[in-house]
Amino acid sequence: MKTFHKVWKAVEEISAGTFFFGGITLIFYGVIMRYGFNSPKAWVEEVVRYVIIWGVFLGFSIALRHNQHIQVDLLYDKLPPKLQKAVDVFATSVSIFFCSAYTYYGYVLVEARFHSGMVSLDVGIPMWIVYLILPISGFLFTARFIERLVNIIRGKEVKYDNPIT
Amino acid sequence: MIILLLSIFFILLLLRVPIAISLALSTMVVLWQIDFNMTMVPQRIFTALDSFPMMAIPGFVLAGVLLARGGISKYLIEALKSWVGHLPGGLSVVTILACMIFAAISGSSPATAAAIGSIMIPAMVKAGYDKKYSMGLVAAAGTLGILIPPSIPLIIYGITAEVSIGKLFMAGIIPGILLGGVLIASAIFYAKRNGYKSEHKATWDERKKSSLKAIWGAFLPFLILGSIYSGVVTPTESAVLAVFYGIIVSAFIYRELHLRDFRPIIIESINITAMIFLIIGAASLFGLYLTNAQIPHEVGAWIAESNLNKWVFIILVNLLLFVLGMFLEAVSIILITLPILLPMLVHFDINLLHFAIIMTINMELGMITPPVGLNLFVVSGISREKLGDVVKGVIPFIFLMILVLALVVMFPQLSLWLTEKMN
Repeated sequence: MKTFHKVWKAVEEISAGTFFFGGITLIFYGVIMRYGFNSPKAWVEEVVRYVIIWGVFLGFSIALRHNQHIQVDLLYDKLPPKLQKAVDVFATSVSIFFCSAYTYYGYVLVEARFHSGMVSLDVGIPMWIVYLILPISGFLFTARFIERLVNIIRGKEVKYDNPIT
Repeated sequence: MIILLLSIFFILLLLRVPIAISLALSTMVVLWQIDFNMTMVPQRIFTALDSFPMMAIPGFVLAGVLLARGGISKYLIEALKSWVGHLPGGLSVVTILACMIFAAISGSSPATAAAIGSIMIPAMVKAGYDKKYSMGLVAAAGTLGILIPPSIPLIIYGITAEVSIGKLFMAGIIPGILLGGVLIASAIFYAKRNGYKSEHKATWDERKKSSLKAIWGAFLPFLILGSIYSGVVTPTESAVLAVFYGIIVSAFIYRELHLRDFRPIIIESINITAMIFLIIGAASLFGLYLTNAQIPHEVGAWIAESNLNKWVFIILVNLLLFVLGMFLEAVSIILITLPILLPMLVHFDINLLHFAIIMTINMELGMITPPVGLNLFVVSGISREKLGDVVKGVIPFIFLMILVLALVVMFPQLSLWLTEKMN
């Protein structure tokens, strides 16, 4: 079980990090080619957009693990612990519901684009491949919310890393 | 329909569902009601982010994280201390100036407050400053992050209102310096009244040494703005230049950035960007519904018919933004309100650059007004004090910022003068 969690975390972080930093590096490459070698690369802008979006969307679940998705504690802080737990269960279930819908419709979109054979404007990447990130990120995001729900119900105190330190 | 949407949104928000998911889900419920093609939902979340200017956000986020971790902000603070530390309230002045310089490299307020606050709050408390005051000062000065360019909210404003991001950045400079100046004046006054000791006066030798060390970081704001305004690169590309410049300086000149620091830096940047991107996606979903229901159009027609005075309108908008700022964060407020406000701004002939700065100062206020204020959370997190104590410390600064906001509203030239010079 411990190895499973380790692998899960590593897959999330390595894939998101590679896309994210890869995209940033590609922008740099574009500038260098334009000024250093006087041969602007027209494909860079489009590829960069897709690559960075892939990286960031893979990061939705990482950000959840670090409790980064901002929520309002106004009412929550005034509730007794028992009700707090109920609110936690509710909020997490609602989030799971949203993520499942997002994953499902994302999958339907991929299927539709697969059959229509639409490609991207500049480079001609099949759009179903580009949109594949929607169900993938949705699945990872849902999985982290389910993990959180299980932790709440079991009453397991989960320590989150302090955001932005 | 819109009432149903907003009620679901606020109920979910109160029950601690993340802001982005509350916004997306309440919109989806309404879209289901009108038999909307739901595959548009994930597609819209994707296309809202699918623009090259948007990629400036991950760039400036990463630049900010690098700056905080690679020693650049540390040496900047050292140098500032040697120059102004001996003034009354010296450490407060250092804090504000450091926030202003950091703001000229990073586009985010919480990042500014975190980077400067984690060094300056302990230093100020150690020197005998009141802790609540120190926390309030960092929270307030940190908000300059989004007013002094680069700025994430201004990037989003530019994309939504189709205004040049370069010009928006330019418009923020003078109001940013004005706000910084007002904060510095208040800090000196406060320190004199409370008889705070100042730091020992540094010798010219010490100043020279610390400045030479800091000069690498101090060059960054000029690199960013210079590269944009000379027309060499786009804002997105300038962010990436800042990233690679920061990596080289931190790794090879300061030698404070090692290969092992790389992973946490990237993950932290992904965390922040993912949070912002999800909110942008969700808010644009809400925007999709608004346009679909023709709400901006209707509101615009209603305003045109009612004989509302321009100044009454401006005051009402400011109040609306202030109240929204208490409950939501900047990105969602801009994306929710701007499409509705745009036709009205055109109707009243209000300059979009001027309004961008008015909106941004309101967003700054939103970061330090409870219950939801990102800078309050950050400062309470790094100083490990209760949110309430941070709020107590920040209240006087809220009034100062409202004062500056009033000046910026009344004198459009503060925002527009530089942008006109540019042409």
